[in-house]
Amino acid sequence: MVQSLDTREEIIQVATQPYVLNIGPHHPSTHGVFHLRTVLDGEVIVDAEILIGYLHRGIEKLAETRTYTQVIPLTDRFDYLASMTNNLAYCLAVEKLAGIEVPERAQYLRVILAELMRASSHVMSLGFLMNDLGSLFTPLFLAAREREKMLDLFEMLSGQRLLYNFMRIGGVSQDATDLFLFKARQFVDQMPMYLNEIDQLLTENEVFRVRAEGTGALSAEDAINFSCSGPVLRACGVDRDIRRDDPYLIYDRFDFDVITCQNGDNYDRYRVRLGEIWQSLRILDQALRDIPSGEVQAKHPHFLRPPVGEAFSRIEAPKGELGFYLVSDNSIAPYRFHVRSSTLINLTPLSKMLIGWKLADAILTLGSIDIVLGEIDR
Amino acid sequence: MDAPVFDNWWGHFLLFAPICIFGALTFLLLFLWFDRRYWARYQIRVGPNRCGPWGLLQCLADGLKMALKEDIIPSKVDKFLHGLAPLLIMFPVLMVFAIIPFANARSGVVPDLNIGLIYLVGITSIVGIGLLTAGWASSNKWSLVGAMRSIATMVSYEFPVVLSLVGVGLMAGTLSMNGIVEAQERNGWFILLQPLGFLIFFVGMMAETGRSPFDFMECESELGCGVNTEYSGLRFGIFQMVEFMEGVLMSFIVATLFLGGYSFPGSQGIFPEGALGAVFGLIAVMIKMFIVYIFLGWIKCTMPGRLRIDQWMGFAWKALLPLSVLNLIIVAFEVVAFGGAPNFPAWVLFINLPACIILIMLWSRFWTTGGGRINVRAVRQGHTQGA
Amino acid sequence: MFVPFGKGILKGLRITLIHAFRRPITTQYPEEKLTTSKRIRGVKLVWDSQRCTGCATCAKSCLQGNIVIRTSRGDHNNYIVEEFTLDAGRCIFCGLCVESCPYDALFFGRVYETVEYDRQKLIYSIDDLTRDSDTAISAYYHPEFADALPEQTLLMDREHTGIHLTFSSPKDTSSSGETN
Repeated sequence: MVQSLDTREEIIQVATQPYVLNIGPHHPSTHGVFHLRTVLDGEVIVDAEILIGYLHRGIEKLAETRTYTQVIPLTDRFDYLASMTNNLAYCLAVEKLAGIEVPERAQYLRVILAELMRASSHVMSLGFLMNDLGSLFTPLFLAAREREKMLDLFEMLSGQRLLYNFMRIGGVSQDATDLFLFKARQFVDQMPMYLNEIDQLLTENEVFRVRAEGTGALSAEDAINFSCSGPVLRACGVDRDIRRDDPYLIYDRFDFDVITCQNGDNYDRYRVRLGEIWQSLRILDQALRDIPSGEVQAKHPHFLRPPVGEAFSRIEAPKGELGFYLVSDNSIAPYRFHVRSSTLINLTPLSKMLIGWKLADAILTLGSIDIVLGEIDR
Repeated sequence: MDAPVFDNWWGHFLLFAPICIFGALTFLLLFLWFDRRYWARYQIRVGPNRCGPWGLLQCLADGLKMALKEDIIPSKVDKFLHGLAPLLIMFPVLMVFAIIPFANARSGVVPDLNIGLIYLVGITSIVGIGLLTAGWASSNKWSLVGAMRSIATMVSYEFPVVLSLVGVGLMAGTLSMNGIVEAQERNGWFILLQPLGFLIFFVGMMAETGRSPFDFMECESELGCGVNTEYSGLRFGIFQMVEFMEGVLMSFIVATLFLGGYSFPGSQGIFPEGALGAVFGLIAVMIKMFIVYIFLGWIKCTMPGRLRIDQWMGFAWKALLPLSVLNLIIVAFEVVAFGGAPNFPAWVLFINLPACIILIMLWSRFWTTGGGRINVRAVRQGHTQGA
Repeated sequence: MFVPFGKGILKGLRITLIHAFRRPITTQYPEEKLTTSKRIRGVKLVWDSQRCTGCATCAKSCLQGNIVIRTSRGDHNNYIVEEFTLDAGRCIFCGLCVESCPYDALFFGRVYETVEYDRQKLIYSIDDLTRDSDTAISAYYHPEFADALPEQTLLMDREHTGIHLTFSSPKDTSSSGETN
């Protein structure tokens, strides 16, 4: 049910002329090179059309001439704000294809890293959402500070801050030191205080609520019909989370809630993301407590040749349901490699979410869907 | 006039006007520096500290950079209006600095205009015309959207601002800025005597001068630079400069009209007359203006965004305007009840402050933003409207 | 329906005020440098000429082909490596080459401040890459080097305490970033 504060019928009676306004690709608020061609009448959006492809790098084609391990750095470049989750989804697909069993410690490490990735991606999306709203970057700095702490942890583990290339087929590439686990525990203990600060600064702010409540609303039925997933779907009231419904890794051992809201507007998407950060901290707490010792990578041949077949793996990435489809023909490189990109599918109802609202709402709605162009354009 | 130095009109003009303008521009540089270091503290960072000791020359460096950049004028713009717009924006802001009483006019240093309030309102309105010109002349749809927003906001917020100024003028009994300060010297600061008027004026003036959260003139994250998209080089620098100067100007005006300007209540005989007293007055105005400026910066750093344009205007017309009319009615009753302007007792605060709180609570319960989703039946590629 | 009389804004004002009195977390680079992680993937690889046999597994595992190896036959039924070039301008620092060396002859360095004006200068030849006694080697995939390296400075330790960072050169492993 689309909830709006008051609706007016056919307000446009004066003989005005609609004009085409190109939002992007060069725009401070489109989160990348994203081109949205809107037709406006005054300030009201009458039509919206998405034009993508400015960041297309042909990764799916490149992967056909790389070995299975060499594809992993390529998968980093999809959702570059949460790059280990891409690695993870790909490795799950190859493990399904080749039948490789992942050791326990590697599973726990994967869960820890996936949840840290989720927290860092969500906290960054909150910060950038406020940027789109027009703040003087203060919420962005607070969010970036939290993310910086997590990036320090990742640097300790893998040596890089953004594109990690850390997951391998059969586990992770290197073991986590005790210092890492200790510092991760310290981070999980300290984070609630800072998250409360961000919460108090933003959640009840009248300006934000007036702007975000009701705008860009998507009904649950529409969200399901358009195959949305992730926070966009959960904010509409549909209770679906792949970690709980179709568990991968060892998520069935952890105890966490799935956050849903009712209205599906921008404010609810913000609330879902904020709630998911809390749940990630909960999972991290449990995983850090229970992590066993052992091997971190299963043994497999250097040039892996999976048997002929196909596999599809999907995970709950921070942005939605990320899926990898692999076809193998028993050679060292995949025959076909396709990404079910979460943000691209989440963008399909964009024109439905935008038509009838105003230009300022368009920017906010785009920010709240949380797009990353690497994943859209591949 | 006491001091014979400035008896001569020409002497006054040639000496006072350049000092005022240079003072305004120097203030601009200092306050720019202060702004950037200050806002950085709210974001737990340091701010510029490399150019010169403590980063003091940073603004000079930025100004030089703006001046030395290539001035690109697109071919389709209306050249005369495109060039006129920065001037239309800059000069009114500089002109308002002339009427701010930096010291007591009786000391002969500072002039006093007997219709100061009208001058203030009239001259600041010209900035709106400048913005519209800038947006219209650049043949760019983004600039046009930005200009339409700015002019709509400025026109909408004129009403509450002017009505609260009328309240101030009624309480003081005079329109001249100096007279208002003298009235506050006798009766107490107007921020206490009419808190509702102060709040309305504060919010309205924030919208008029383009301070966050109403910064349509600055680079909007939505509009990608808004009105000044097609400007570069020194003309762009002028837009940035005017943005800051308006903030400074607003602080001065609030300090003068509501915080008592160059005086403190009951300080009539304390400071010496003449030029020495003028210096004390100047220091007092600076301190108050600084406090207001700090407060403005605090709000700017905290607000996570702006309202949408129709919500801004809804706020002005549906919330601020009725409140300012009610404020005017209350003040008018008090003026009549106490028999003329100069005889206000201080306990009138105890009527005005509860009235302010009650009215704000009442309005916040009933004010809605409006402007929900509009049903449009749009035809792709045909662009014909509904029906 | 919420009542917008400003309570949320006041809460936000309080949070910003708290932040204004905290110590800034900025580091004044280049006077103060943070100590990087032990496993940092530096720009220049470190090639051990004693251990390398010229098998070129690293060149094969690079997904872009950034490593060029040219060998010639030696006397004792071995290969002598004549040319080992790394195009660091194209390298994405994925680390697959370091991981794939079967003889532990290739490591990551710890240098990250290599800036050149000319792209040709980023192509490192065998002399730039050969390991000598004081080259810092990062512990990426080689945890045996980790003990000699200084501890990484973390933001969660630095926050609120204003730890003064002294100058720390990445090559210089003995005098590390001391914390006060």
